[in-house]
Amino acid sequence: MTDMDIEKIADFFTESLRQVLSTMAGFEISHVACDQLNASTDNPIIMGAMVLHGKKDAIISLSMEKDTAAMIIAYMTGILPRELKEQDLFDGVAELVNIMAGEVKARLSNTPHHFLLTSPFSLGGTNFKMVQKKNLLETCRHLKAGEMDITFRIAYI
Amino acid sequence: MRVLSVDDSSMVRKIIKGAVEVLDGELLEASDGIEALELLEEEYKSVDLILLDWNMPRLDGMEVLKRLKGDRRFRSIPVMMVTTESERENIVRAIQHGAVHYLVKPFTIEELIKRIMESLGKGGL
Repeated sequence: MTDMDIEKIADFFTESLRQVLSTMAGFEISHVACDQLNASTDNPIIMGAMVLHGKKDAIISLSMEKDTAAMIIAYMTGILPRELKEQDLFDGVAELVNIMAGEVKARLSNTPHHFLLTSPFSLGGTNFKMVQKKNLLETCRHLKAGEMDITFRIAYI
Repeated sequence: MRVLSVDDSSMVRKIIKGAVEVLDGELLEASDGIEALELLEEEYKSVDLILLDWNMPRLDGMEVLKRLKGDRRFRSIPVMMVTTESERENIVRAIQHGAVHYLVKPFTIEELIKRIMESLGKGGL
């Protein structure tokens, strides 16, 4: 696993997320530089994540503000944001991670970077950070859908 | 028309519910394979179609599919897989075990409605 490999794999995830949001929510996302691996905000965040089992295990995460999650899930389900419960948002963001990971799993199935999915999960709160050991191979992508910001991260653990 | 959605994601079940309601149908929901089989014990005579996820806690979709097709009470109910598992060998496996359709996530609502109608033998839109 090299820096180049992880960047390419991160691009696969980004492309997959682009496809998921375009197909299921009608959102087009653009990619901007991600230079803030530990950026924090005062607004509530929901983070969906999954451990990937491969030759080298990885953890992926997708984080966004709660309002962004509500907007995306509303467009996907056809339910108004105010009618969605908090549990729907946590479940929805975890499922986004699941769908995204499923697509990339198939894409990498016959390569040295193939992996198995595990159960996705969600975390939520305000002003939290995900801190890993130093020198882990990790990268991120910052995505924008209109005014909405989404951050994807992958770290080989 | 009554459709059973078996998926551990409530978001996916809500999307499916929207599609079923477009077709004037009613949705029954189960969040894993065990819950689905328990529900079918009571409701199997009135279920017209089962939409089945693959990766679920307790009992996965492939195991549910095998049990459904191995039970004479349930085997005539058409089953469509709705899953992130998109490798060809998994699709072939599901069809070999009796799934009538295989829809890979992500999908559009139009695709979902079309596949539901096809699975019910009502053709496309």
